[in-house]
Amino acid sequence: MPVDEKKMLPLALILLLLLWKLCFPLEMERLRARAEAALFPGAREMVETWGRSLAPEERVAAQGPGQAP
Amino acid sequence: MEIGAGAAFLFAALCFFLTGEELLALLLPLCAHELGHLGAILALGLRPRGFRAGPEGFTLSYSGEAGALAHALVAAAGPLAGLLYALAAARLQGLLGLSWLPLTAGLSLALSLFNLLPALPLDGGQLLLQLACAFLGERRGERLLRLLSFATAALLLALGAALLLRGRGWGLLLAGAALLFSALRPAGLVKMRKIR
Repeated sequence: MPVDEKKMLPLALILLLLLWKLCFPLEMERLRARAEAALFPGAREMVETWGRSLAPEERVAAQGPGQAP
Repeated sequence: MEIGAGAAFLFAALCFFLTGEELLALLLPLCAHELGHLGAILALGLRPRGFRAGPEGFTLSYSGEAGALAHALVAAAGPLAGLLYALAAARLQGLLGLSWLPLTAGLSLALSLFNLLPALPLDGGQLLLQLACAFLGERRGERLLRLLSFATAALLLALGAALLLRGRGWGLLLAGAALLFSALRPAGLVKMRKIR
């Protein structure tokens, strides 16, 4: 069966990275923290806040007591 | 269906850096978005012809005769489905209490709003391209969208640079650079190709 090298390379990379993640979880966490700090510091919390703000009860709570929704 | 090497490398990086929950929280909004496009294509009597995943995103190809409004609706259906998914996920959080639901709702909201920016090859750009071509003619419409795409990319780059200087990371600057790169490539102009 002919093998397409262009498709095998990314597959091999995925497997290699997953293997590395399994073998060195602490190192991976450190890398992840550095990548997040370099790209989008605090992004996860910000995106979760946006997600929560879409829930109706959160919107009512955000308006404070005594105010009409 | 075609998955390019760039998309595979990006997926490899996501698998590496994200947890299983985070990956699910990201992939579900992407599926909702593409299903929105697909649903609109089928509902309007058009024929889906192919799907390609590249580093710049996904491309749905379709064929069939339809007016500019129908093509604009196909472009708008993706972000609309993403916004509906975000609302549904946020509401389900109260019922199911799954910890990743606010994350997936927020990601879907962010992806949908980003996709609505008036720049090609994003959905907002596609939507405006159809309308501009219908009202101004094909050449003037395309020229207007090219200008809008450059302006949007330049604005994102400027915002990204400002955020970087304030210690808020490289993310938006890279997004602006990617958008500028897409706008410069003629092949990247059309995300959802109409095949005649």
